[in-house]
Amino acid sequence: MLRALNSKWAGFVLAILVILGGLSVLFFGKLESNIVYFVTPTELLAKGDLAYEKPVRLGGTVKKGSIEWDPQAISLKFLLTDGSKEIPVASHSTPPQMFQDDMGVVVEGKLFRNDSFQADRLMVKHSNEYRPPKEGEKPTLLYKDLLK
Amino acid sequence: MISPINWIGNLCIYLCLGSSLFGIATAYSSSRSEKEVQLKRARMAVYVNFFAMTTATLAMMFALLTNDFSVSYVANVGARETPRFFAAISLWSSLEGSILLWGWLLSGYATLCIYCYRNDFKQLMPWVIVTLLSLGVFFYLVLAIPANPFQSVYPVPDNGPGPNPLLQNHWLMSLHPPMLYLGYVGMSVPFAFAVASMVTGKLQDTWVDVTRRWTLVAWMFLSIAIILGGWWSYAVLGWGGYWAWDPVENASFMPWLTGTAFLHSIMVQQRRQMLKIWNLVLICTTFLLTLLGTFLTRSGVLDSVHAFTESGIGHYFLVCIGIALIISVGLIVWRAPRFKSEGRLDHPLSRETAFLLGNLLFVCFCFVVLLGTLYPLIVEALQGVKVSVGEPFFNQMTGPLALMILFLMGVGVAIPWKRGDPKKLLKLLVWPSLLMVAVTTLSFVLGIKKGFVLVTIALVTLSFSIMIFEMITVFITSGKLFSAKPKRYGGFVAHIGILLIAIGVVFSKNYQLDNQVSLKQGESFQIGNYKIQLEKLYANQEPQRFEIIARTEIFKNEKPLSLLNPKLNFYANNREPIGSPAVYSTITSDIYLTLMAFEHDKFQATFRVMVNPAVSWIWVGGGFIMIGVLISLLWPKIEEKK
Repeated sequence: MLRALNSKWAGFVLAILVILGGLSVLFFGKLESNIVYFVTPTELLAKGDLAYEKPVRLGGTVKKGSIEWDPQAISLKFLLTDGSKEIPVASHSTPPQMFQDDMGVVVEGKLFRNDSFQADRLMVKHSNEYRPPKEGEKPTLLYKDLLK
Repeated sequence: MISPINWIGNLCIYLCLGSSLFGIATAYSSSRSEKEVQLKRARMAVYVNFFAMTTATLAMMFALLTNDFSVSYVANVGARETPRFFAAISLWSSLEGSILLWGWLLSGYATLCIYCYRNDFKQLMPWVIVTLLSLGVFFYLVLAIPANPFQSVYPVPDNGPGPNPLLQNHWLMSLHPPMLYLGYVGMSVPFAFAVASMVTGKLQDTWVDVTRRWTLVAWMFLSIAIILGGWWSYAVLGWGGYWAWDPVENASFMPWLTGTAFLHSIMVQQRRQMLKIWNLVLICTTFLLTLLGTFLTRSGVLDSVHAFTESGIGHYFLVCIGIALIISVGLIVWRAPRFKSEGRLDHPLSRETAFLLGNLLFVCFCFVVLLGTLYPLIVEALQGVKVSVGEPFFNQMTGPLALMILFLMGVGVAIPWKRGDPKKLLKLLVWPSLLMVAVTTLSFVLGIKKGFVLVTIALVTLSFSIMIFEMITVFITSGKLFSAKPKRYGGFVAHIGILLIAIGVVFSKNYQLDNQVSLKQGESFQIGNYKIQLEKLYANQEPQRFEIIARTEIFKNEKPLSLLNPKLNFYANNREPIGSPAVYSTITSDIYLTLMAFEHDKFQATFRVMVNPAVSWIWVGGGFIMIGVLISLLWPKIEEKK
C-alpha cells in the first residue's frame, strides 16, 4: 500500500495536509473570537468581572411594568429577569409590535460597567406552547380606529 | 367516517413500499442472472412508484383545495379563509407535506432516469435502480410512520389553523421549496450512478457525460433555490438582508459548493482521465450533504429561525445518513485501486491545475461552512453550554476564499489544457489587466475606498474581460457563439452570473444605509438623496388576515418617485404580526422600507429605512446562471436536430 503511493501522491497529500493545517489554525483562531455564549441574567452576573464588555446572548423574560418605550427617540428600556436576578436592558431599535410584559426575549449585546446591558438585537422568543389571541387581543378590535 | 383521501393516500404509500422492495429484489437478481425480464420488472416497479406517488400528491392537493379536514395534514395546515393559491402551495408548508413532495420528486426523477436509459448501461442500470428504490423505501417509510400526512382525524374539525403565516405571506414561497427539492433530490441520480459504477467496477466515458448532465440539472435547481431563498428572505423577513449564515441556509449552500467542485473536476476526468476517485468522492459528499441539509432543516436540532418543525423524524434521517455514509466510504475504499487515474499533471501551468486548485478552494469553503454550522452542536454535546457562531466568522473566513475563486475563474479560462505557455498567457492577459486597472482606479476616484470592495471589483473586471475577449475572438473567427462550444460558453454565461452576484453581495454588504425613524402622518425623513414621507396609516380587513398599512411616498431630489405600502399582517392564529416590507428597486440601489411598529392612537409609525445598493444584481445573476446551464445542456441537442 505504501509502495503504491508514489512521490507525486505523497507531495499532493502533504500539500493538502499543510493547507488543512493552516486553515484549521486560522479557523479556530477566528472561531474563538466569534463565539457568542447564551446565558441567563444569573449566569451572566455570576461571572463577575468577566461578564463586562463581551458579546453574549442574554435570555429571560420582560419584567412586568418595566417597559419604557419612546417612539420619538427610538429608545427602549426594560428589565430582563430569570426569576432570581434582573438586568436593565437598553436598546436603540424598535421593539416588535407585540412586545409586552412577561414575554420571553433574547437580546444580543454587551453588559457595561454601569451594569446596564446594551442590546444590538432583540429577538422575541416564540413560545412553544401555542395560544391563539383571545377576543380582547384581536387586532381588529385593538386597532379599530385605523379601519377606514 | 374515514375520508376516501385518507385511504387512497395510505394505499399509495404502501403500494410504493411494496413495489420498491419488489423492484430492489428483481433488479438485484437481474444483475446476477442478466435476465432482461427481471430488469423489465424492476423498471415496472419504478413506474408504479411514480404513478402511486402522483396519485397520493394529487389526492393531497385535492384535500387541501376542498378543505377536507378529516385528513390530518389538512387539519394541521389548512384553513377555510386561506386563499386558494396559498392553500395549494401549503402542500410544502409543513413537514409531512414536504416529505410527500420529496417522495414524489424522487419517484419522478427515478422514472425519468430509468426511462431515458432503458436501452443503455445494461450492467449499471440494475444498481442504479437498487440505489434509487432503496432511497425511495426510506422516504416511503418516513411517510408511512413518523410523518404520515394521511392520518384520519376524528372528530373532524370545522376549520384549521392555516399554514405558517411566514409561508403564506409571499408568492415566492410557491417557487423556493420545489426548486430546492428538485435540486436536493436531483443529486440522488448522480449518486445512484456512482454507486452502480463502484459496485460493478465500470466507469466508462459515457457514464461521465451522463453523470455530469444530471448533476448540472440538479445544480441549476439548487442555484435557483438558493437565490430565490435569499430573495424571499429579503422580501418577507424585513431585515433588509438576504443571507445570514443561518444553519438552514448553510444546509443548502454546502451541497452547492461540492456540486460546483464536481462540475469542474468532472471536466478534468473527461479530458484527461484524471481525478476519477476524487469525482466519486465529490458526488457522494454532495449527496450526503443534501441528506444532512434535510436533517438539519427538518429535525430542529439547530436553533434556527427556519426550524419550523421539531419531530422524531431526525432519528430516521440520522440512520439513513449513517447507512449512506458507510456504503459510500466502503465502496470508495474498495474500488479505489481499480479506478486509478491514467492521466497525470504534465505541467503546473495548465487548466488542470487551475481546476484542481479551484476544487480545493470549494472544498475548503464547504469545510468552513460545515464546521461553523455544526460547532454549536458539538460544543453543546461536549460542554452543555449554548453557543452560536457569529456572522463575522463566516464572513472573515469565506471572504478570502471567495476572492481566490474569483481570480481562478478568470485566469483559469486563459490557461490551456496540458501545458501553458507563460509568454502566451501574459500576452492574453495584457488587455484584461489594463481594463482591470482602469476600472479599479475609476471606482476609487468615484468614491469606493474600501479595500475588499476594490479587490473584488478588480478581480471581477479581470475575469469578466478575459471571458468577453475570448467570446468575441471566437465570434469573429468562426461567426458562431454558443454553437461553437456550447458547454464552454454556457459556462461563461453562468460565470458572468456569479460575477454579478459577487458585485451585488459586496456592494450591498458594505454600502448599506440603515436607519430607524418614527413619523407622524404628513412628516418626512431624509436618507441619502431620498425623502420618505408618511401619507397615511390605515387598516384593512382581508378574509385571512388583518393588515396595517403605512402609505408612504418617496421623493428623489424633491421629485416624487413612487408610492410604497409597507404592511404589518395579523393572522388570526398568530399573535405576532408578520411584516411585509416594501421595496423600490433600481439597478443601482433599492429603497427598502419596513413598518416596525405603530401607535394607532397617535397615527404614528416607526420605520426601518434602508438603502441597499446593487441588490438586484444578485437576482439577475441567478438568471444568468440558469441561462448558462440551459445553453450548455440544450444547445448541443438543438444543433444535432438541425
